[in-house]
Amino acid sequence: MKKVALFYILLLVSSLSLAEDNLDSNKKKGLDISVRLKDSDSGWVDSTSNMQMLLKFSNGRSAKRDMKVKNLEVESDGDKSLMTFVSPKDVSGTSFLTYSHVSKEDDQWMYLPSFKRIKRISSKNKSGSFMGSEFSYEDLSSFEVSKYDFLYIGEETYQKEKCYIVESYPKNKFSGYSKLVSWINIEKMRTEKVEYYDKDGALLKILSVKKFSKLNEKFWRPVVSIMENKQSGNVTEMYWTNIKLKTGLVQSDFSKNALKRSF
Amino acid sequence: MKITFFLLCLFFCNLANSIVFDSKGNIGLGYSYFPYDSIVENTVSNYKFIDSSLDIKISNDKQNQYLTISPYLLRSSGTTGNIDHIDFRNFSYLYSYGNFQFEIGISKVYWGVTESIQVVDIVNQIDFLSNIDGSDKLGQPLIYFSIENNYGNFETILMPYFRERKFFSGNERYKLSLPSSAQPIKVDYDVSQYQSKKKNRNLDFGFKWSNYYNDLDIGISFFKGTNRDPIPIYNYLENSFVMYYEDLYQFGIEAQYLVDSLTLKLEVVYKSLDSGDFYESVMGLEKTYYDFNNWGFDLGLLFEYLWNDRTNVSVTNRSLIDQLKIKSHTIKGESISPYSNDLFFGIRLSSNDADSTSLLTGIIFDPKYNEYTFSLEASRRVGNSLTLNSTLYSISNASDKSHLYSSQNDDFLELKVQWHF
Repeated sequence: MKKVALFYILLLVSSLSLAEDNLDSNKKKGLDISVRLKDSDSGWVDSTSNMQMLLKFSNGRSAKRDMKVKNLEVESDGDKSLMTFVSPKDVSGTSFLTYSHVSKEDDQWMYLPSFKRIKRISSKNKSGSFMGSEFSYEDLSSFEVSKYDFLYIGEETYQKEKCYIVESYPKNKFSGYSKLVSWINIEKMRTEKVEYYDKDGALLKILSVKKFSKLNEKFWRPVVSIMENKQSGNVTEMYWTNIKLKTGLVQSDFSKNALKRSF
Repeated sequence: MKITFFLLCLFFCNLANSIVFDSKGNIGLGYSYFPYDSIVENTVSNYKFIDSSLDIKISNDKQNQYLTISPYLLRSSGTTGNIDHIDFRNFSYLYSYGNFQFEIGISKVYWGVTESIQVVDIVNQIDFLSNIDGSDKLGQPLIYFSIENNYGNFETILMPYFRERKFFSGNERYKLSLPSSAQPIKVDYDVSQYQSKKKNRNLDFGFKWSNYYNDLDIGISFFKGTNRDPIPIYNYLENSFVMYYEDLYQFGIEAQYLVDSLTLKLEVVYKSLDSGDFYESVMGLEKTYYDFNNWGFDLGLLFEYLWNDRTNVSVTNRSLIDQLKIKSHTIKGESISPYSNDLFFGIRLSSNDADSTSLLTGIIFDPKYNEYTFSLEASRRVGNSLTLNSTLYSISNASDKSHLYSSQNDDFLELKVQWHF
């Protein structure tokens, strides 16, 4: 009897450690895929684009937001971005300058053109809505591998494209999410769909990219994305136009002086 | 006119083959209502107004040269004083090359970090006629250089022309009076006096270094030139106020530190004037609760302490004294300048919805003299291009020593519809 019990205990322990091994290898595979995703999207140097958001609320109302966006790839740190509102007209010229960082909190400033005032703002407001849309500040900040723990879940065909499914767990305590589940196109190395889970573990939002554009024969950029809030029923559609890479922007185009020129 | 021509020439002579044209603006229709009868006779109890600002920006396709033209206009019906005015908030040529920036013309430079008042901010004159709370500024003629690098942002400003502060007059509210008097005194701008022999054409100089280190933003500034705050001197021969502008040396420090959703703010200046040297400071904090209680808006709580040690103003300028036939002009006492020992409490609400509804309310309170200034501003977007704005403003019974004694019943409510294009 004792021998049998011992046998079962041994069996249990070994299967546990097998599961442990499996978990470790899936974590590593998740990380590997994410590193490849980041690497395949490096080398674009800088970009300029126009972004339009169409906010559709579950009560039937809708609103539009237009922005000019500039991005700069920064080697060995997070990207820099400068976003300037074009509409609604009453906030036209209001700009956000963000320095993303790999190993510490992002730095962020807001520019109010009527006062010519630059205000440092807290980057802790990650989960807050960006101008009433279903996108949060966190969703719009640059993707950095070091900000998440990853777990490989499996493979699945999504919209006729073979995809990896990878879960990402935000390390930052101010994140509005407990986890993200991403569908990453295996062949094209681009993210097709993301599910966002709130702090309680419930499904909050689903982002799906409806259309991509391939720039400079290498870089996949979403052109039409839709963010559906599964809890409120609100939807935000995001359209990107005039995307240009390697336009010759430099560090000084992302300075506080540049913020004052952004109008 | 010469300057305009010069700026246009500078711009178009340098122009590349294509230009980018950008413009925006707004027109507002407003109504101001004063519920209480003024203690001054013949003053309005309400008036309608229209204001408009326009921003035109022309740049070259390399986006390193800009011509900016931003006129502001205010017209009211039923008032007989100074309210109606036009001002160029901006009329400048800007050139940037790498981390170097140069601007010449009329422009605005904002210094400071606090909310209730900004003691460091000095470059632009206050435009009281547009906004009684002092947050609107007149365009300042200037030449501006800045270099921004890893050691910070180094700004140098030359200001060749000084702009006087204008006050309400005619049947308007908030006119100046002698202390303890209900009789408003007109300001005689034709005889404004300056300590500087060059009067309003003194070349003022400003310098500021600023940088940030992780969550700390810091700035150190210096200003030498004409003080933006005049001393009103009563001319009993003419029964008018003569505004006296002294030479000012100002050293300033501003700092802001972020701790999660808490912001700590500090501004300190040392002002050296003929009429007396003094320190002035504002320090405080702002705590933000993002999506407060899941109610769909951000709640900000503000607290600031305002302090200065100015206890006397003593004008001994010989020529001024001779001209006005007065012995000397000296004011002593704790409350000669406002905000000498005051507390500010404020609440900021901003919704995360399509209307961007926002509300900012605050009270500056002097616990010793039981004086306060209260303001509430709320705004909301309607559709894509209209905003509704309302302002409530109230000051308590002004102290006997204040030049705003006659304004004690001048609380008002302002409503404004703004169309943005």
